[in-house]
Amino acid sequence: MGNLHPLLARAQRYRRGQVDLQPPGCSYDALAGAWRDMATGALAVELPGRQGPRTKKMDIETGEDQKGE
Amino acid sequence: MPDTAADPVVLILASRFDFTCDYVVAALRRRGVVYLRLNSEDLADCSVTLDPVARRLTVVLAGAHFCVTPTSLRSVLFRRPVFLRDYGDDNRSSQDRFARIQWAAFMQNLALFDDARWYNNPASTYGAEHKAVQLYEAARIGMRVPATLVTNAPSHEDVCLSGRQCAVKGLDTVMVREAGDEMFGFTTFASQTDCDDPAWTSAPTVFQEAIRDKTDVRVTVIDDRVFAAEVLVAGKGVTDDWRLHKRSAQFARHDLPEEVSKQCVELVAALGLRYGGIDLALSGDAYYFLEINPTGEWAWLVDAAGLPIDEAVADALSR
Repeated sequence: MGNLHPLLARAQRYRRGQVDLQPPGCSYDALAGAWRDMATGALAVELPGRQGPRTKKMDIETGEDQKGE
Repeated sequence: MPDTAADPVVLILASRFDFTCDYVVAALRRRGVVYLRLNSEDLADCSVTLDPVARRLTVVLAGAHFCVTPTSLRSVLFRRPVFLRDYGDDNRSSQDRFARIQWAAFMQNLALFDDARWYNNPASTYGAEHKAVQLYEAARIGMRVPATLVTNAPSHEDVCLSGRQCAVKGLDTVMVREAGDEMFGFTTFASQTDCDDPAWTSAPTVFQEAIRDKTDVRVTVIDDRVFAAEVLVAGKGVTDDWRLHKRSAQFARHDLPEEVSKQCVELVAALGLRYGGIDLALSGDAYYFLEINPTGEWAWLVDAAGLPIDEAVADALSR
């Protein structure tokens, strides 16, 4: 660890788990190009309270340029 | 026989898990704009053909036939990486790795539709991702920029002026994977004694004048429209990287001085972009430019700060 670059030595380390990105209760509508709430058929982002999809900035960091890669 | 859909006016290049695009889709639908969203992980389930000379992209998606041509296409929302990082533990099969690279290239090759307005063009995004270029351009147009050095040989005199701490960060995103773990580096601080660590020599690092008494301001620019939000934790700005506190962070609309707002628009244009997520730090009455994210996120600000960025993006795409 003596030669570890200080930025790497100070980085937060966490276990990579299998992250289920699919918003609960939603299915992807390929033609609409958006996730739909399965109960109502509405676009998930238009649901009152928007409990569906969350944007990446509020989830695990991967750097904004990688778009979840 | 697939149904023929109207020719798309807007093309969205994304991932199906890029939920920011769902906000744009919803706003485009409210406007009745014809769009096509192509997701990298779904392309193998479509029939896709690109004629580069005729500039015609045909797509059969979920039983519908789409044709993208320069005549109909007005704009492209490009939400894919402009390069793929090697994280060091790619467990994908050779077939998956091959397909991922080829589809990424396919999306970037759609840049041949250069009559359309790109948010952003991947070539411009690539050029604008570089922190040193960003800082130079920001300073050139008159923005206040913290004293910065990129070096693998930090010295007491150059880096930690007057014995104060400085902010240190990677020149690129600090993220590596190892043995099932992931490491992500946030902006941190270094003092003069930290400069003695010989391990700095192994990679270039950004050493920057620390702006401790600050409030972070996130500025989203779409063409000439500007939206700003301040980041607060327990009602105050944070001294370190706000992403370390994001579960408790609050976001509120922020009124930028007109001059700073104009500089943000100018910076985006100077970098050849139409969209940019700019990080500023407000200290006293001074706004410091920290960085710009050409593919920066914004959708969380729609809900958290009440900023109608989704509508602005849809307006820009459908013009």
